[in-house]
Amino acid sequence: MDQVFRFEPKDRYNAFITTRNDVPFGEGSLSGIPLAVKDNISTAGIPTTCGSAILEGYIPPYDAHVISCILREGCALVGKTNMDEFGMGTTTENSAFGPTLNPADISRVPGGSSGGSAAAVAAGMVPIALGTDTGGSIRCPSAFCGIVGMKPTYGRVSRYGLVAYANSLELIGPMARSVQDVSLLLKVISAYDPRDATMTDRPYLHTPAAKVAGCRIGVPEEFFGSGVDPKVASVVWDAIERLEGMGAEIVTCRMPSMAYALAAYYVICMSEASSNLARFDGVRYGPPADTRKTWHESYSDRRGTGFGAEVRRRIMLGTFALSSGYYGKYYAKAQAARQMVRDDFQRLFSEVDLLAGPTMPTVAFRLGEKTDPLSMYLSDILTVPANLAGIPAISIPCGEVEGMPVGLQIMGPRFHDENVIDAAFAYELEGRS
Amino acid sequence: MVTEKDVISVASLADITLTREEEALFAHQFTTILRYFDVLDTVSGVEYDNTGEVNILREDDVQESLPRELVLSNVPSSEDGYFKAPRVM
Amino acid sequence: MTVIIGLEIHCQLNTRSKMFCGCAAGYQDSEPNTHVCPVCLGLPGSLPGINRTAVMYALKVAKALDCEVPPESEFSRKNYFYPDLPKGFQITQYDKPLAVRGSLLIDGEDGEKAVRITRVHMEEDPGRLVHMGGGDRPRYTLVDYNRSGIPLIEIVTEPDLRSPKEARKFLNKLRATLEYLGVFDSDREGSIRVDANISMEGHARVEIKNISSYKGVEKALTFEVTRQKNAIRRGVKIERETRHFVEARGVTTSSRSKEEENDYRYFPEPDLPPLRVSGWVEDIELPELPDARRQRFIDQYACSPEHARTLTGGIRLAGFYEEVAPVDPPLAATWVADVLLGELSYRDMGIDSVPVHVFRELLEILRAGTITDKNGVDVLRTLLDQVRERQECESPAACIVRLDLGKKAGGEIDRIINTVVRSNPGAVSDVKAGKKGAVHFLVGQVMKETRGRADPAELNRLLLEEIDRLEG
Ligand SMILES: [Zn+2]
Repeated sequence: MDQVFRFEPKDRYNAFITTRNDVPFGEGSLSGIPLAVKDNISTAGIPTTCGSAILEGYIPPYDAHVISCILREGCALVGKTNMDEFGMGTTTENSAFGPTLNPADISRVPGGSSGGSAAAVAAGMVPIALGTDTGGSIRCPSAFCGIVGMKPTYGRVSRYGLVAYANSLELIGPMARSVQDVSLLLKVISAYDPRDATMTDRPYLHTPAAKVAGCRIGVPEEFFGSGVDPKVASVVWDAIERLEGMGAEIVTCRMPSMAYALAAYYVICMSEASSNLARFDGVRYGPPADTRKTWHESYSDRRGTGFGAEVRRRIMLGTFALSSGYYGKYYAKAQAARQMVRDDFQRLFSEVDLLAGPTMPTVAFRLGEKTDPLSMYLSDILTVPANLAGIPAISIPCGEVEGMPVGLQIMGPRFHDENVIDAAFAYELEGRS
Repeated sequence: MVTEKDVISVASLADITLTREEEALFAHQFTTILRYFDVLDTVSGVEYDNTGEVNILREDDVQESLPRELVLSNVPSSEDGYFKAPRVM
Repeated sequence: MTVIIGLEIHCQLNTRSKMFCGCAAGYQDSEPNTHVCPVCLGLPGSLPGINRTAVMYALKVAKALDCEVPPESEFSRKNYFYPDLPKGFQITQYDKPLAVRGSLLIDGEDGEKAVRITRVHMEEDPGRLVHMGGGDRPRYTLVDYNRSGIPLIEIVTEPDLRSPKEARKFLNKLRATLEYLGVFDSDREGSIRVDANISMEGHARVEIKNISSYKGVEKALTFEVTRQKNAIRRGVKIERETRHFVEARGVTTSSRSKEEENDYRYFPEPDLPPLRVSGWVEDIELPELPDARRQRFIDQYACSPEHARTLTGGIRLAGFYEEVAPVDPPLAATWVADVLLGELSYRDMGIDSVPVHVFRELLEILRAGTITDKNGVDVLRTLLDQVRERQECESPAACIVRLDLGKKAGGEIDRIINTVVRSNPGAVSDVKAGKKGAVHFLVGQVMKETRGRADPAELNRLLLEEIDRLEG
């Protein structure tokens, strides 16, 4: 670390929770590039809050694997970005540090939960950022803010150091203004890490090549279902037609498991979250436990006040879904439904190379627009299938509706991140007219 | 239909204190959400299949532990190297 | 009333590192929280990585207990909130354990019997709590996570045991087996913890939690048998409940805390894909186990079945015997099994504290017959006392000389016998009249004069010869 990057952002969108001013950086493929990191990725010596009051003051004594990777390549880690508490949200309004605003329209949300990273990139504060995606948390804000964001194949990036919300679904991924930068960052963070037992040693070493001619792209009808805003649908269909114009073969298809995907996703992520979020007891880190109370009093009160409403809802629903007598009805059925989603994708990918559709059913909501939890959950319908199946999915800007960005989502089979990148790159080069 | 009593019992299992207003609000919200989850009741004849996933094992090598100053650096007070927690009863 | 007992035994495996992280597992003599890292402290973002050796050790146990090992097992989370559990859950195995359906042979109350093993699974040890402020109302708790993440195996038996004594025998056999496998260090404090289920046939089952010593298990169960039998006799209904064993008072007490009523909400650990161990078990070569060694002791050293069982009851004891046996196998068996063990137990010492060369020398002296058995015991006691006090001892030969415990030379004994016979004419005539007791009296007189340095059996013969000679 021989050089210093001076970072003095005007954070008009509340994109950051923590910023650093004089940021050391080294040599490497990311040398001197300012990079923002979502605040649920552990950074040694830099507070890591997950957007929650319950982690106030916590400074990790270790770096997440991806942090070691990016620092080794010389980037300047300029700060930690705002997010929905523990990743639970689609707007970045559920943060103990206040909502992040959408740079395209400050009366709207940037999407979530990686809204801070998306806003920082969209506003030009940083060219690249790391986000995390449990059910669309990279792709949703990328679509809402008009940037590129990718959820890689599950197992392609180490989760070591990512504060767990729903382990079997989530992954760290790159966010940037171009497909090339997304590809570059993915190359850096996909280095193998044996500490993550769910990781596969298949590093992404690809250089994007604009390639979509001859590619069979499936479009499941369910991706344009009743919840999708017709204006968004129209913009996305135009984009898909442009891909066709570039030589891709477009095939419409069916994905019946979409009927179960969202319910399965929420039952699984809530169940896992209810267990993952049990560790914040104030004994080892975080605001200290009150030793005047008993263990259970102190623990319950801390969880009551330290977690926001959405986190408590999900912990409670997850606790319920795993509880004796309900496990079979919820968790076990959700896992079965998850298998149906995987089976559907497997069948589809035996017929087509990639799948395409809208990333989000609508453009960015207005701040405070979504007050009912279920209606918020429903907006994740198009992004959760990729998490349930562990397949790679990217969102790239493909137009606007009333001045707000719309995202095109491209998905591929597991470990075909390269093909997804190439198609997105081709669209980025030629498709955007 | 989720009642406030149900919410209280789950809150107790989850060890989370709620305000009275939240008990009522959550009961209402949980009713809607769980009703949506009922779609899973129609799933049948499928089992989650994890073949292909293989565990990666670690060799039994001792690695350096964290220095104790760092271990205790996130708590305001410790006692003789121990963490302090509330009494359990 | 038939007593029905089943056991759940938790044993720490003696791997070098912990179950899911690289921290050193030997924590016993360490300062608190010096063997911890993000994983075993449950820091946000850390992930578990399974220790291959721990799996191998657990599979060895499974094979030694003749278990079936399914091709796939799974780790699950057991969710409960307690300060010794840094993640708020324990990684354990639930509906897909590592091994199932095994058995272990023990010498039961009515001869040899097979105790069925329900399952063997792996899990992690929680941290250690110190309750501060004393008495019934501690003020706060101190937590040390050095123990957090130590690999454990849990072995669950079917309710096949019929008495507290059988339970103890099962535990002894299990401990010996684990020691022979080299996966377990029984001397390590807290290395074994037992939960016991006990009922009187036709009555409710009671669980006794967290008994932390071998002796404690038999004591706790014996207390429960008496308590439950008395209750039934008085017509009091046995409650299905969990009780705790209070070691200091030797009693069990009812404990109905929130912790025990918990719904653990088990689900598969999403950070660990299924464990696939097909073919591993077949490749494991088991070392000689207690039963095989016992048979070999009978065949090779002509040990009695009783001695062979005792001598193979622990791997160090068996090893000790094999080191001293070449002197004279039967003599060594008698002296180790019947004398040494008792003397060690009386002094609360372990077999490790006995210097092999010292014991061999003592056996050689005994075999040469230059010391009586009784004085041999005295020498042994003296030497053990020395070891206990200063971790070393003089040689048996030096001890015999120093305490003048050697057998008297023949001439001196003859002189003493002659004197005794001449000065006890009454007893001598009684002997002639065929009164056995009179011989014993005379032997006693000689022993007194020689201060024990004569062999009583030989004295008997010499005395009768001397009396015969007087007649002639
Ligand atoms: Zn550790």
